[in-house]
Parts: sequence; C-alpha cells; structure tokens
Amino acid sequence: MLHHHARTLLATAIAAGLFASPALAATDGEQQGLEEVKQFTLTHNARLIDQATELLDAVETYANVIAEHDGDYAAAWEAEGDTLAATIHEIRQVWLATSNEYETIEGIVAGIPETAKYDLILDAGNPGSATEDVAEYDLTLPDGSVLERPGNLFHGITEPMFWGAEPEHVMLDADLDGNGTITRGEVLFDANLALGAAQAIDHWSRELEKDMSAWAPNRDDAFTAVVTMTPTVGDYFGEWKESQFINGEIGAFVARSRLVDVQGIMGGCRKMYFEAISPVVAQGDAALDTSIRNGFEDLLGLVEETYQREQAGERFTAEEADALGNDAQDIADRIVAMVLQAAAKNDVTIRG
Amino acid sequence: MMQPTMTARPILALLTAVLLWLGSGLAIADVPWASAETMRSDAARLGRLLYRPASAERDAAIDERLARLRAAWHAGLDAAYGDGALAVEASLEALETTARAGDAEGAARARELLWTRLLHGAQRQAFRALERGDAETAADWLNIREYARASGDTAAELAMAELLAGRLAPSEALRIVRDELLGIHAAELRLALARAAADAKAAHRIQLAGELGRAEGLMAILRDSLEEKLGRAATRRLEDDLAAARQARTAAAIEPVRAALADYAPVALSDAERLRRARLLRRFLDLVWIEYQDGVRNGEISIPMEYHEAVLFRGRAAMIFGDLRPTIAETAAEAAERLATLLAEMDAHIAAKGDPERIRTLTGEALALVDQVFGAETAQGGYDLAVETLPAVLDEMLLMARSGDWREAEMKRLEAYSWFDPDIEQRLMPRAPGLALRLEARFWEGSAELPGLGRIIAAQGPVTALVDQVAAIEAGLGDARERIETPLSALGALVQSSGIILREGLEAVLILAALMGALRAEGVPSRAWRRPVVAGVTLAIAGSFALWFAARQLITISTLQRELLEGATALVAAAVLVWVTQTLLSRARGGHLERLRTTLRQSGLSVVGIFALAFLVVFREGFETVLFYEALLVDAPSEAVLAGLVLGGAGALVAGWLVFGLGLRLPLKPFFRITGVLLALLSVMLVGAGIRGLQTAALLPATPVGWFPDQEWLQLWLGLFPVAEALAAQGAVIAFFLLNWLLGRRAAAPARA
Repeated sequence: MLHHHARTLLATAIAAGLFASPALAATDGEQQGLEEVKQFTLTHNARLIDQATELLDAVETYANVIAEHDGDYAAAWEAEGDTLAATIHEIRQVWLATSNEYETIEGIVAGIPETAKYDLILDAGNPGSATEDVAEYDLTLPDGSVLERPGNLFHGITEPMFWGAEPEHVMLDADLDGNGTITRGEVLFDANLALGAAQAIDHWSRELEKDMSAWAPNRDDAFTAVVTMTPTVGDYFGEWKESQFINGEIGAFVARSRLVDVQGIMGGCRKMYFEAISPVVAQGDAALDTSIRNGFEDLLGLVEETYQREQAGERFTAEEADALGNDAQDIADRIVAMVLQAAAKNDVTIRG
Repeated sequence: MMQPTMTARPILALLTAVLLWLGSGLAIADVPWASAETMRSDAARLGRLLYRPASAERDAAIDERLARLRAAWHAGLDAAYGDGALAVEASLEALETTARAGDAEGAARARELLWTRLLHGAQRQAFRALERGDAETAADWLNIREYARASGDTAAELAMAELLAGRLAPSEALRIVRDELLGIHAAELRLALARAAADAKAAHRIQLAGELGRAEGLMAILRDSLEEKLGRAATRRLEDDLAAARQARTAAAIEPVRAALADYAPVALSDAERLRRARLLRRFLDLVWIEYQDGVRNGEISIPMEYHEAVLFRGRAAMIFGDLRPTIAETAAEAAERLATLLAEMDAHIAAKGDPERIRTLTGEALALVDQVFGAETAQGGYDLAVETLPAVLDEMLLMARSGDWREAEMKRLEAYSWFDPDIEQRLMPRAPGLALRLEARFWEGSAELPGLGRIIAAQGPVTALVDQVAAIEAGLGDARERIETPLSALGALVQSSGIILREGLEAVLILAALMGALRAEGVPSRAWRRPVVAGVTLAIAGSFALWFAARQLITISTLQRELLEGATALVAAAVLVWVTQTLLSRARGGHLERLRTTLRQSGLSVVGIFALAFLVVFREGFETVLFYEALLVDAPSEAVLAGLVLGGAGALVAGWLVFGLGLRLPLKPFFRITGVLLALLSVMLVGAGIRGLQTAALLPATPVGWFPDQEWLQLWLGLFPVAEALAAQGAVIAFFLLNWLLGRRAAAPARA
C-alpha cells in the first residue's frame, strides 16, 4: 500500500540537512496554480462522493435481497439469482468508477500532510496488525459489530471482496455469468461487510471533502506532495510485476491494473508541479523548470504507453516488466532530485 | 491508426529531423542543453522498444527515435561539444547500428555510453567555462548532469546560483561543483555495478548490458580521479576487469570491479556531510526493517508495497554506505567490512523473502555499528544538523498526529526532544538558561495557557494546540539560534563561564560548607568528616569526567537516561540532606545533641553518609557541568572560559567559606538555625530538580499550574517550577520540616515548664 509515512521520512531525511527556512510569499501565478489544484481536487472529490453514493445504493440493493431471505445466501441465489448477478455486476462497475475518481486525486490527497490520513483510510493504509501506515479508523457494520482498524476500504476490503478473491468473505460460489461453470471470482460475498464498507467509503469521502475544503494551499505542501509521492512509482510498478498482468505469473489479485493507480498518482504530481510549483521554479531557473517538466512528460509517457499495451492484451516478460519499473524509478528519482534543487534554491521546507 | 509504409518511413523520419532541428535551434542558441535531454529520453524509449518482438511497427518506431536522436545531436550540440563530439558521435552510431539490427543488449550498452559521454563532454565544457569565469555558459552546460538520488546533495546548484548572483568566486564554485559531481558519479558507478550483479543473477541480459555500459561510461568520466586515488595500473586493471565482466556476464565476474571500488573516495567528505550521511544511513537502515516486517510472511510477499520499499531503502542505504565506506575504513576497517557484509546479507535475504526476524537482527547489528563508528562524532557536531532536522521531525510528529497515529507521534516527540536536548539545549544553557528551560517545558508539560507536546499527545489532541505549540517551539528555536550563533566576546565568554560554575556549583558548595560548619561547631573532630567529604567530592568530579569520556567513546547515554541519572541522584541527595537537616534543626532546638555527636564520632555508617552526600551533590551537577563547558568551548575563547571558571569557582568557594566561617563567629544555636534553614531550602531545591529530572526522563507526569509564578530566576536558582508534581513534592518536604519543628517546640515546652 502507499507508504506516505515512510516516503515522508525519506523525503524529510534527505531534505532536512539541506534547507529549513520558512516559505516565501506566493506569487500571483503560483497562488492561482495552487487554487486550481485545490479546485481540481474538490471537483473530483465531489464526483467521488457521487460515485460513492451510487455504490452504496447498489450494495444496499444487494444487501436487501440477502436480508429478504434472512441471510440465507443459497435461498437468495435460488430465488433471485438474476437480480443478484446483475447487482454484483453493477457493484463492480460502480466500484471501478468510484476508485477511479479517487485515483485521480490520490497523488494530491496523499501528498498533503493535512489530508494524507484519508489516503490511508480509503486506498492505501494497512490493517492494525501492521506496524506502519495503519488506516486509523474502525469499521462499524450494519449488524452492530465493529472491525477495529481493518485496513483501507478500496484495495484492502472491497476490491478483493467484490471480486471474490478473499475466501473469508465468500458466502456462496455462484455461476454469476450463467455459463454453466463457476470460475474464479464468481461468488456471493458478505452483504453485512459490503454494506458497512460502502457506507464507510461514502462517509470518508465526505470527510475528505471537508478537510480538503479547509486546506489553505501553500508552497511547502505543494513541494512536499511532489517530493513525497513521485518516487512511489517504483513501488507500484513493483506491485504491478507481482500482479496477474505479467506473462506467465499469477500473483496478487487486483481487479484493475496497478498502472491505473500510477497514472492517477503521477497525474496528480504532474498537475501539482505544472500548476503550482512550475511558476516558482521557472522564475529563478527556467532551465531547471523545463527539465522537470520534461521528466514528468517522460514518466507519464512511459506509464501511459505501458498501460495501453497492457490494455491491448500485450504480455510482458519478467525482464521487460523489471526494466520498465527501473526506468520509471530512475526518471522519478531524477525528477525528485531536481525538485529538491529547486526547493533548496527557493528556501522551501519539505514538510513531514 | 494508419501505419507508415516502408517507403514513407524515411521521409517521415527526415521530416521529424528537420522539424526538431529547427525547433531546437530556435529555442536555445548558445548551449542547446535541452537537446541532450531529448537524446537521453529518446535513447531510453528506443531501448524499451527493443524488448518487444520484432515487427514492422517496431522497426518504424525505432527509425523514428533514431531520427529524433540524430536531429537533436545536430541541432547545435555537435558543434558545441567541440573535442567531446567524436566520442558522442561514435556511441550514437553504435546505437543506430545495434538498434537497427535488433541487438537489444548492444543497444542497451550504446544507450548508456551515449548518455555518459554527453555528461562527460558537458562537464568538461562547464569546468572550462568556470575556469575562465564564464558563469552563464557554465550554468547552461550544467543543465546536462546527474543528480544525487540518495543523499539529495544541492551544494553545486546553490553554488551556481551564488556565482550567477555575483556572491561567489568562479574558482570556489568550480571546486564545489566538481566535488559534488565526482561524488555523484562515484555513487552512480557503484549503483550501476550493484544493479549489474543483480541483473546477472536474474539473467536479465539486456539490463545487465546497460548497467555495465553505464559503469564503463562513468568510469571514463572518473578516470582522472581513479588514477589519482587508485593509481594508473589499478585503474587499467579495473577497466580490464570490467571488460572481462562484459564478456562473462556473471555476478562473479563483476565482483572484482566492485571490490576494487569499495574504498574509492573521489573527494573527502566534509564533517557536516559525513554526519548528514551517517544520519541518512541510520534512517534508511531503520526503514528497511520497518518496511520488511510487514512485507513478508511465511516466505511470501504479504504487502507488496512494503516489500518493494524495503528493497528500495536497502538500496539507498547501500548507496550512502558507499559514500561513507572509505571514511569508515580509515578508522574502523573491520566495521566497514562488516557493514558491507550485513548490507549484502540483507540484499540476499530480502531477495529470498526470508524470515523478517533475520532482517531485524541484521539491521540491528548494522545500526549498532553505525552508532559505534559515528556516535561520538554525531553527538559532538550535531548542532547544525539538529537545528535543521528538528523542525522536520516536529512536522513528522504533526503528520502522525493528524493521521491519528498518536503512538508514533509520541515517538516523534521523543525523537525531537533527543535532537533538542543534547545538541541545542546544551549550547543554549550557558547563554540563555531561561530560554532553554522554557523551550524544554514546551516539549513536555508546557504551561497552563498552552499545554506542551507531551500533554497534548497523551490526551490525543487537540491537533490545533499541537500546531500552536510546534509554532511556538519553532519561534523559540529562532531565538535560540540567534543567541547561540552570535559570536561570543571574551568578556561574554568569561561571564557565561563564571555563571555556569556559580549556578551549578553553588548548591553543592553551600550544602557541604553548612554541613562541615555544623560538624565543626558540634566539636566533631575534622578527621571524622574531612576525609569522606574530600573523597566524595574528588570521586564525584572524577566520576563526572569519566562518565563524560565514556559517553563520548564507549557507551551511548540517551537524553532520557541522562535526565534520569540527574533526577535520581538529586532525589537520593535530597533524601540524605533532609535527614541531615532534620538532625541539625533538632539540635538547634536543643534535641539529641549527644546522640548526633556520638553517631558522627563513632559510626562508620555516618562516614558513609557524609561521603555519599558529598558525592551525590557534586556528581549530580558534575556531568552536566562538564557538558555545558564542552558546549561553551565550541566557539568561545578558551582563555576567557578558563578565567570565568576560576572566577565563578572562587565566588562559589567564598560563599561556602562565609557559611563555614559563620560557625566560628555565631553561637551554636543561631548557627544551627541559619545552616538548618539554608539546608532545608537546598533540600527543597534538590527535590524540585529531582522531580523535574524524572519528568523530563518521561518517568513522571507533569502538570503545569497557572497560579505559581513562571519566573526564570525561581527555576534556575531555587528549582521552583510551575509544575504541580514538583511543587507538591517540595510542599511535602516543607510540611515535613514544619511538622517536625512544631513537634519539637511542643516537646520542648513542657521541658521548659
């Protein structure tokens, strides 16, 4: 999962010895850029809430069918199999759209210290059993039970549950597509947990909106977000390599390529840099600004191209996948190193 | 999309080339550095294309990239590179040949040689420009460069900015830039070889060829430095070994090259840079364990992100260790060797997804070695790092608190305090003791108006108060820096030096003088108390220095352990003192004089008691006083400090002599009353200091109170802090004395009647 804390430690560890002065006053272009980044995030946050509401509606429909049969999944499947199969299909589609809205702003949400906790709760945090980057919330389910610090909602709970990859949450194997055989992922899942998790996604998306609305955009946060989040590209490629998308290997289950996460996060970093940081850097060093911009274009180009190839059904050898990850990490390292140069020259503090 | 036909492809490529040439030429006239960026990017894309199966589409894409590369090169770069152009041209041709032949390994090598030769030529041009004082041209050329990926060095960039602003001489900028680039290239060379070894083991042939090509190119850039540091013959052997590794394509064949470069240091790191890297190495090693423990379960990756970050941080630790290894090897060759082994074992263990406990053991040993090698230095020279790191640690603490991780926030608070206490507070105490105490309180209980970090975190909020307190600390740190960094005059050093010894020594001198005076007045022979007093004081002073030496060379005494030591000795001293004082006050009321006299004359235990008191009251302040003087001597004239020490020491001794001498001039009863009251006051002060010590050792809670004056002089000279627990303990001691006094009066009344 996304290790904001560790990344921040890394970024601050490196930056700490270099510079620690208060940020200078924002220029007009910079202020406008910062506001645009905030507005962009709020716009997608609003869409995230809309999608989360839709997801909640779909899960409620599913849970109601199960409840009408007193929690007897076999009876529910027997009586209303078509409705359940269609609802599960809808849940999965809406989940992808909901998650996608979040991925679009993840790089910004996770990079800003004031909102970073929502990234852990929604998308990237570990369960309480882990020692680091724990998603700090408890999940209350409709039956009144409480799951203490169960991990992040999108990838930790709902994604494996909705796609039947978590045996613990599988209530019944069911031929969802009606082709006569039950294959991997064709299941009815725990309605109680699904409803609680969908409610939580809705709730925390709204909480995020409140804190994002209250965020006062500033230069330190903008630099920190880019320095903290850009290097995560290598980790996502690492996870991608472990996933089912690599030729000849069956790894960890993901409903959608991790490259979508990479695109979202790196897109957020690029937006933050282009809108909010570039005006500052370009003012003092246009060449450095150009190099950083080129770096982002290079990085996004690599990710986009790889994703397109994957979508087109191309398969990657282990070495190629490894090389793509290494190339991406090298570009990201170079971008971060250049942003650190710019931070040093502009007396910016990389915040923890 | 329509695919270009075979006949259309050359035309398309030519058009692209023309457009790029026009664009590049118009964009940058003097040094078309952006074209070099384009070449690096296009060569990388070309390399990625060669992983794909051969097809007409792939060939077209390769042609397009090659055309862009050619165009970028001819867009002014070839002319600008001058005598470096030939080498670049050769590698460009090699890339064209290998790419067109579909030779992915050859192209990977050529791609890296192309970039490193571009780097080399640009560096030469930049240095020449700096040598002739042409800052603008040098700055343009330095856009074609590598950056430090693990250590985040920025000195060269800042030096160039200073040069362009006319605040730095070109020769000085050249030195800084050259040193930084040498360090970066050496680090990148070691990284390339490490990656190559990993690629060889994984049979990643294309990446292996690329990394070895990069190593070859970086070695060419570093050639002069390698010859200077390792010798010409060794450098030639190195190049031969690298060529052999290229042929063998095995990790074993790469090993001799890595081994030959292990202790290669192109430039000596400054003390500050060495310390910064040592801290980074610690941090990265720590993170390896933090990430790995959740990343692997039962030989499988349980959380991929955690696992991959463990890999990344181990790599970063290895890079930083590469920078530091030559320095470590100079003084601790075995430690350097062991650290290298530990990092290699970590690498192998992580790759095998082995038991996390083993990683904990390996990182633990590595951290202990880092502390052993750098512990003393980091403690001695940590001020600059502390003032720069402390705000970052406080920010991390805020981040933890905001994410609701209060346990981690508490850890960060203690880490922040451990930066503040030894590195900043010790320097601040001699200069602005009041400010130092105020700042210290902010880390703990704070004040009635604004709770300190410790209290807020214990109560898990509110975060807004935490933000306010951090802002107050940062403002206080600004004041502290100003005080510490203002150069001290000789007079200032003398005043501060005498202040330290007077403040820290007066208490001990008064206690001992009053005690000795009382014993002498009692008629206790001096031989009964002189020896234990002299022995106690001597041993305490020797012990203070021994502890100081041990803390520098042998053991690690954490901030909290030191606070605990101070607090505990103060409380034990206070207990002994309360007993002695109570006895004296009883005597003053006409109590059991004979019993006291007999006890002091005859009892060996009392000799031990006097010795213990003398030892405790001196040792309590002794270690800290040595630390204060050490901090003062960092930047104060030593003669003035010595004069201050003599002057302050004399002042304390005069005060002691006056108290001691009173015993000769005053009748016994008033003398006992005066010394008794004085010792009672000092007991109260010791109790306050002891409780305070345990509070700052995180062993006792601290609750600030608004009703007690928050005055520096009360805290510094009388140990009276506006903190409930300390005041309660002091109140209890006062009550004890008063109760005994009242009981004594009541007992004496019938006797008089």
